[in-house]
Amino acid sequence: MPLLTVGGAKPDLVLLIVISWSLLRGTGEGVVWGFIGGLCVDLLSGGPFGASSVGMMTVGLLSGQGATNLFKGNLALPVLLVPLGTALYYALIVVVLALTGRAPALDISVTQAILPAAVINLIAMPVVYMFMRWLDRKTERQQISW
Amino acid sequence: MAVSPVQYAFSYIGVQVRGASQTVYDFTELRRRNRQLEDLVDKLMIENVRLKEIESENRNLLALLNFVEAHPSYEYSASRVIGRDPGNLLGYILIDAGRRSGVAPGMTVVTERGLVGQISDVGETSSKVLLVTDPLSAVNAVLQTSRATGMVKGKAGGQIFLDEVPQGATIELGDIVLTSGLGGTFPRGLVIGQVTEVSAQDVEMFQTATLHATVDFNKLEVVLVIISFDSDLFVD
Repeated sequence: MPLLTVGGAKPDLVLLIVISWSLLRGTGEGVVWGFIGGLCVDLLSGGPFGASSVGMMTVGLLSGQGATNLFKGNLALPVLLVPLGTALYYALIVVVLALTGRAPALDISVTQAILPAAVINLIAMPVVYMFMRWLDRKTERQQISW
Repeated sequence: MAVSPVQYAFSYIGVQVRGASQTVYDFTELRRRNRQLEDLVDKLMIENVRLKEIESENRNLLALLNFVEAHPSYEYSASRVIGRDPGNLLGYILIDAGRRSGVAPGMTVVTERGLVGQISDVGETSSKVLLVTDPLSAVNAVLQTSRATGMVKGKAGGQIFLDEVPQGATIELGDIVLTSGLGGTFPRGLVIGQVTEVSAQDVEMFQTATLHATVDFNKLEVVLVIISFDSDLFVD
């Protein structure tokens, strides 16, 4: 989405989808889809293979802790989680890059990538979350309780 | 005579009936022809889109061919961009040329507009290109006018800047920045960008300048990998 950028950063749609789905369906599905989404990103990424998978699985795991029916309709929690999830995701990638000797300087990573990415992800999150909530309703199994 | 009005009546009825049946026939025929024309329009629209794509690709390839003809001493491998790094931290693209095409790590990647980057990882049929916009990219460069040297580095977010230019060297707005060829990694004289802003502070050891890259990294479709070049030759 080259038209939607902040400071050159574009929305991390896969990350936003993982955060949204984790909030809607919990830790289990969050980790699975974090792995799958991260794998897709790794295939195209120039970084070490697996860096994005590790990052997204971790974000999925932590975001899933916030999954509860109480918050499903509320946009506040997803929006609050975006800056944290973005920072955590990129921090993990920087750590993996550092282990392979390819990490950009920390100040450059924060000011040029993480901060702008957090802002643009915050802007894009309401739209992504509403779509994922619609998908959640369409695909969730009806639970019968006695 | 008495039969004339009757004849007239029958004749009139006959004409009306013929007219009505002709109208029905014409209507059916018109609907059939309309459907045929609609199908033809759909086919022509698809064909038009396909031809416009071919025209656009032809323009791109012609521009690359002009570049190749202007620099006949190099050996090239043309390849398509088949993927881009989707993140915001790194600047990489994936191209469909690998070892089988003679590509090796460290080779320079260009378009007719200038320097794109350097091959970083190579597979059998594809390679990763480290763009000049990547924060880890560093290219020895020279200003076209003042001949001051510096280092072009990338910024996350797809921007480039000129760093390590000695204080006292002249950096003019609009000046073109070229590869200097120092180190032998890149051929000399490849266009990298144009100066848009200069930052010179007395307390700093070096000046820096923000550059506008001549290559549009969001629109890369076909690139050239320079398989071999003469490092002593200047590209003009």
